[in-house]
Amino acid sequence: MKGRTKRQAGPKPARGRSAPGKTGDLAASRAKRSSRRPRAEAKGGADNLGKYVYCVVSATEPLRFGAIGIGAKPAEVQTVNYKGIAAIVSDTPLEVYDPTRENVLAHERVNETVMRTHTVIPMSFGAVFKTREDIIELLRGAYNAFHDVLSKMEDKLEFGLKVLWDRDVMIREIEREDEDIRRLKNEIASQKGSTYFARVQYGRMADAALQNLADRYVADIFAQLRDVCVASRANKPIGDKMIMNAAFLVARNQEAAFDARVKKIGAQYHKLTFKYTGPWPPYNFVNIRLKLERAKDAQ
Amino acid sequence: MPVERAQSETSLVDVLDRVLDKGIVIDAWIRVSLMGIDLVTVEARVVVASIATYLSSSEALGQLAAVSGAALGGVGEKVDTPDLTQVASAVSRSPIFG
Repeated sequence: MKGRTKRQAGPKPARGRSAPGKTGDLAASRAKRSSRRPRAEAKGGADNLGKYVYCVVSATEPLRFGAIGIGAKPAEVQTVNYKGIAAIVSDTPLEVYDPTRENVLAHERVNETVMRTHTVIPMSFGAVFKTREDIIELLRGAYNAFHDVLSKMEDKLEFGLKVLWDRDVMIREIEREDEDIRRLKNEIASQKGSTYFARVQYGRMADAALQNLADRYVADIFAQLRDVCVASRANKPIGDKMIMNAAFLVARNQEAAFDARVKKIGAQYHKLTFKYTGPWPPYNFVNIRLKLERAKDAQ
Repeated sequence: MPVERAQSETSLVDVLDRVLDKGIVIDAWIRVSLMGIDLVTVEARVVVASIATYLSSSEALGQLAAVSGAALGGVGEKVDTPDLTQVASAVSRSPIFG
């Protein structure tokens, strides 16, 4: 496949290629795929250009955002308009984009640029359409859904808040506060002979106490942010240091208030680490699943 | 600790966490077909399979119980896209993103 080979030599970091295991398997399956696709090669020229779609916005006029698109040579980002809504797109070779650092950041960069002036519904990464007409079909087919969600998301931004802690520090904290755990620990320290059962019991109690503490902290943080956001979403924490992995939908005119509140919470919980990001397009608050079906007269 | 807000673009993990399977998601089979099996959305009909917006503030509290109850439960992974999830986990393990 033309696109693949080109990208391999091009913008993609070579270290990704040389990685063993998974990457190797992927490369193998790619090779298989490419051998099944002779037609795209044969066409050549302008026919080989598709359109990468970043997001959907409300717009009655065509818009341009400059040459900030995805790909080795950033293409002009513009709109495909249909009845008051528009897809933000750029021309791209007809190829599958891998979620490399460059590609993923390009996708996000365009979304963020558009977001400065428009309410966006972000597209998930990697949607390439063959023609402008396909995109109009997309806008037409899901028009009501897009329209509805655009009005719901109007002037709202997403912020991310992850909260992490150091388990060891917290266990010491718990031992200070929880008499039972402290006593058990002292018993283990002073006991002669086997401490196996005492240690198992200690482990269980410490885990439960930690979980309890995490729940309390997380509930309190959500509660404190509640009146400065429109909605919130709790995602699964990643790894055992993270106790909270949340997204908040905030009205543009509440951004400063939300910001101040997050900082206040940060000052309150000085033993926790806060990872606060945004503004994001409202990825966590929009879930539109689209199915493309073969039209009857296709093929 | 003093909390500073980071620009979205600066955290690849956070970007990946969002862009791979959230927002407008096109059904898995079309991705498969995009990958070289000969059908790139041509003459296709778009069907809205499902749409959900998460706008009620009470939801966070509803989900809290789930989060704390089972740290490994599927909270936040309501969308069932096994293929994409695999892509995502493969990506996060890949040295490119280390």
